[in-house]
Amino acid sequence: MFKACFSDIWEHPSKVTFMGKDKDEKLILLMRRHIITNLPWAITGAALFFLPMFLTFLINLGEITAFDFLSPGYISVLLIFWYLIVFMYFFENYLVWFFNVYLVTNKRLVDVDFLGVINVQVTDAPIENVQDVTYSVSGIVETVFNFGDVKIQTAGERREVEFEMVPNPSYVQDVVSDLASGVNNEL
Amino acid sequence: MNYNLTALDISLVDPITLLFLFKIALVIGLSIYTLFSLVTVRQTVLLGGTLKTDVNPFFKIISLMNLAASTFLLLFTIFVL
Repeated sequence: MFKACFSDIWEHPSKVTFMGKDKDEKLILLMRRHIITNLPWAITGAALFFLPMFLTFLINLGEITAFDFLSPGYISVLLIFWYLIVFMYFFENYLVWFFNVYLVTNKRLVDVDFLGVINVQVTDAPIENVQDVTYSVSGIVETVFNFGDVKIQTAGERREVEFEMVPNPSYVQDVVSDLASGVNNEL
Repeated sequence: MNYNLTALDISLVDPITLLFLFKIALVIGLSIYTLFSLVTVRQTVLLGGTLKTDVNPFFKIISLMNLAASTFLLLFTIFVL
């Protein structure tokens, strides 16, 4: 369960399938952005979580009386509403991370882009169309945590498929290259 | 003695009016949040169809509970508070 919820790279994932998967199609790799890329929104969420406590401390410290007209009932409702908003912030960001997946199967590459709240874009490229696979790791954070972009040039209408900020990009490049050469040798 | 107060002056002075304005703001905020929660429920259903995993039902349950909580809070604010 933990692996299903928090893994950013998963080989031969069990109990995972996707829309349009063929019966003889095997899922080889499931990737998401590296888990460390969630740190900015996690820190913001934590700050939002502690904000009411900080404000209460400031109000008590400054002996501010501007909110004295609010009864305890109103303050409770306001606090619950605030924590619902904070919860939604965490949940939405987690959903965006969880469903933004890159899939490698024995037949194709699938890129599921979940943009914001209501926009979903799914693109795929047959593995036999793969011509060139390159990866790049640039920056201190990327180098330390070993994640980067994998660019796949294809012969189809969609010229390039990009797996962004995936963990262990050299390994991903190797898997995709091996698959492409294997399929192309069979043809 | 001058009794020529404007509506704005009264709202600033009278705490009951201020409380009423605060309640209206709270109801509007909660209504928007409830609508957004409804979108999230639909979104988890749609995304669960795109990528099927064994944790998808939990996402649906969480989003439904969030919708229930926001609806309850909205109704509580309107009718009880």
